[in-house]
Amino acid sequence: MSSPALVITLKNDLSELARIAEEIKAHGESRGWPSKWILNLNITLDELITNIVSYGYPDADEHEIRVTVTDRDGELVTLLEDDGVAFNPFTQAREPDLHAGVAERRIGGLGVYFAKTLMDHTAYERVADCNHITLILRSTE
Amino acid sequence: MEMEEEKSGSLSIVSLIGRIDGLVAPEVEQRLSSIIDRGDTHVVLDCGRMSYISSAGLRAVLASARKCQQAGGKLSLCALQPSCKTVLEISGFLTIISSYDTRDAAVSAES
Repeated sequence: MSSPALVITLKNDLSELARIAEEIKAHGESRGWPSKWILNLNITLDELITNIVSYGYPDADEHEIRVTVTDRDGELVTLLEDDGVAFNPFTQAREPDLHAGVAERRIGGLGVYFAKTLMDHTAYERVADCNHITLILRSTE
Repeated sequence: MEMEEEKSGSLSIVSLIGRIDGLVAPEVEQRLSSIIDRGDTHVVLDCGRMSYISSAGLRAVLASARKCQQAGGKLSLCALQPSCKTVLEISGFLTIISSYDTRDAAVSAES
């Protein structure tokens, strides 16, 4: 069964990160989502939105980022939309460095790697001058 | 986000409290940097009250660990909550930075 989608709109400001995490947690708990869904989705959105806010806009204007989350038939489907520069994080982000020691290790690409690791499916499309990222979590049963 | 600092012998124990995300990570890095600059190069980050850490937070932890190491010291972690541990495990951080289950274990191992 499908529930009404949770739609959250954010400004392109890092101070929005805590709010979206709270909203997703509250909604997910009220819908009885597995705690792993809430954790994995919140980490993934935090990382992807941080990248969009930090690197997605060549201007200093206010922009809207929209997150739509739907749970249906044991799946959690999240659409993340922004009107920043075209960027497919799943193919264009740097490969993370997972092995170097403290002195040499670089952090770039780690956030996108979290997204790929924590989601069952990720996809990217450029639609009408907007980035559309789809994130899917499936129940383990 | 809040930070609290205590001394235990030559160890500095710094508690990171709340969310360590991209918004506050620069401040965390800066405050840890001033602690290390002042000569406290053996640091334990107590994560018992840290509810969340993102890759931006990991960057701050890594930069601080590097700074400690360059000054002949060491940075380690303790009391990670399961949700934060996930992020540290996936990133491979736990293979390069010592992590202890409790603050007591960290203090006795690192003193």
